[in-house]
Amino acid sequence: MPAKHKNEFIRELAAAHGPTRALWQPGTRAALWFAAVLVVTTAAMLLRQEFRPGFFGQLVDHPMLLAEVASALALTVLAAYAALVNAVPGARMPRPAAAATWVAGALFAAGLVAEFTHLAPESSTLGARPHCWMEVFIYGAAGTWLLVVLARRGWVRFNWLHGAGYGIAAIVPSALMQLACMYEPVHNMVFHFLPAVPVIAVGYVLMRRLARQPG
Amino acid sequence: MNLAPLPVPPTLGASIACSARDGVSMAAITDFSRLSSLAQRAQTGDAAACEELLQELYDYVQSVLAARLGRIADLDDLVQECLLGMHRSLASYHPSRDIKPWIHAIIRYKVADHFRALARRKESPLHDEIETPPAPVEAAGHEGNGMLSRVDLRAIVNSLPEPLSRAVVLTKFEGHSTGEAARREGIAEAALRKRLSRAYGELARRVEKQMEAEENAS
Repeated sequence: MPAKHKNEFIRELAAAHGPTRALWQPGTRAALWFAAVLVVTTAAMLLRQEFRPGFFGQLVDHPMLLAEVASALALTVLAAYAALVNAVPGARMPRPAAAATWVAGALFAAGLVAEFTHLAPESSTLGARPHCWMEVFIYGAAGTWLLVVLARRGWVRFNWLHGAGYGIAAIVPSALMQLACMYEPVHNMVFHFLPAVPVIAVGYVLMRRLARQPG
Repeated sequence: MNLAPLPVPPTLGASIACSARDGVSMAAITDFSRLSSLAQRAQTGDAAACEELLQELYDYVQSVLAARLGRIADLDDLVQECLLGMHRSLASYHPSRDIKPWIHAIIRYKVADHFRALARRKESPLHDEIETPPAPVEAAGHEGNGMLSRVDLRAIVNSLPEPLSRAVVLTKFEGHSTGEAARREGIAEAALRKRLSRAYGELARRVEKQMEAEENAS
């Protein structure tokens, strides 16, 4: 773009100016995103089929299951927060929040491994859902899409870690599926968490595309 | 705060020479709270506040860029790109936050984009972008000990992996065409273009990182 004269440039820009509401703080938007995704995903899952009978009692009786689900949900909200902070020029994720994200990620990964060695509830086919993997994929993609919509009002810069954060939104339905579907470690891994991987990849690609758009 | 006048060598690119003739004020803007207040009013749709904000930002951004990059051929283009970016993403500024990091982040983004764009342009050799020697200057608006060194592009180019660095030196410093440079390197022209693209991507990343690190340190 050839440079215009300063005053002409400013006059043209000011003439085209209209009201623009300041975006809410990234923390507020991440919290709202999480609430919306949690409510809509839970409602959609309930509409399709009831949650596993006795899942609440299992959460109370088996702290490992509770820790696994809680760490997964904490990871999603913190990853969404990181992605939204990254879209605000000059903003920086507070150190405690960044540390909490890594801790939640580590706890979640440890929980996935521990399922095989220190099984939380008994393995059973109680509550099995016929297409749980498809539900995880569809609801996860919807959550990622919503996060991208929120982020694109800001100024997204490419960062592989935050790019993955867009996709980590996909594990909200995975975490809920641990309570809604049958509990069996191999089934959990293959049908509840594996379908989230392509959504994480999609989130990453979407971020790359967004990052190419000039602010 | 008095600023040392920027050196204006006779070989300056047309755009910055023109700016100097116009007597662009290099005075520091230290009142960021005023900029913040103007930005808030602009967000409500106040066109007069928007114009005032852009006027103040224009001089500020120009002085920061001149201080950080020294002599560059497209200074005015880059200033206007920064201003456009700030205008388009005004919504991303939250009134409860300090406006200075927001302004400087957008300047960094646009400088990095500028270097990425250079890779796609055959004209505009890189030596036009380099101010030597890279003496430290006090960037406008950086109070106190805000001494920011110029981004030393030559040093950054030299720090790139050797094949990438050579590709940049041959085509952008020595003025060879990509075909000639490829023959000298003994590789296909397409491979040399790929090296150049990687070199500029890396150059943009390193410039952005260096600017951010120095701004944080100041």
